[in-house]
Amino acid sequence: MPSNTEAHNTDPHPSDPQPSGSETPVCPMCGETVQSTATRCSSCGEELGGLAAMPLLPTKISMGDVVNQSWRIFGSQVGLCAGITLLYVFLQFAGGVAMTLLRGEFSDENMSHFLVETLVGIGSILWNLFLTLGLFHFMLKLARGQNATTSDLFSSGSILISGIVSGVLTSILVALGFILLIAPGI
Amino acid sequence: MSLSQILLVIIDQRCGPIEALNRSWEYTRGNLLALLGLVLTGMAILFLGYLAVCIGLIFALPFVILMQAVTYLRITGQPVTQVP
Repeated sequence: MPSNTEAHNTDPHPSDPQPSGSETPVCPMCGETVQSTATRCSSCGEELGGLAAMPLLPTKISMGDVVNQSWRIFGSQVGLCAGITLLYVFLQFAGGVAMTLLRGEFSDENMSHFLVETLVGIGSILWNLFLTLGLFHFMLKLARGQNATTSDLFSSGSILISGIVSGVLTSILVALGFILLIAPGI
Repeated sequence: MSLSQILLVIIDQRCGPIEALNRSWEYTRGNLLALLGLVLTGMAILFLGYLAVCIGLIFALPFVILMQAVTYLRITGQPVTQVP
């Protein structure tokens, strides 16, 4: 843990990988058992960076520190960051073009307009979310100093459903928050 | 702000959405002001990226996402790579 941070809860999360003792840490990617000091999963190759041994603790942060650290990392990897973003934008654009072509194909087959639009809309959302999760995964590895590659952009298929559900949950909770804030005023 | 870490929790810890929501809530407690400042900073950087004929977004977008990744690592007490 960085020395300039202050932990305000020392209880590790029950389901977090345990540093020692009877519970064995598992790979966050494939769920395979790993050694607590392992830097790479022997089963799927996921880089662990020795983090399997580290319980995650809520920690107080400072905005200035985060911006400074991010700026330093970004400055040292600016080409990689710009390159992966260009690829991300290109793939999103290519997905959009593919969906437009599919829309034309389905329309020719006399499918209902509503069904075609729904399918194309869902396809677009899934593709964009898949790429966005991959981009976040890439940046997470970069921030850890791990070897981030373009394949990370396509590594989030297994968490796509969780990503969709969390997006829906977040939207509902934000909407509820607004209603609770606004309703008393009305 | 309390929900801002959900996606990163799911990506990093591979847990379900409800568990991610709980953990995001737990991690962000006590950091809401700093997170608000970071969100506003990120929005300002993206706005500047748009102003630069959208070309700036090629640099602004990865920086803002990297900032979110660093925020997540710091807020969960994980080490961030040290760049001199």
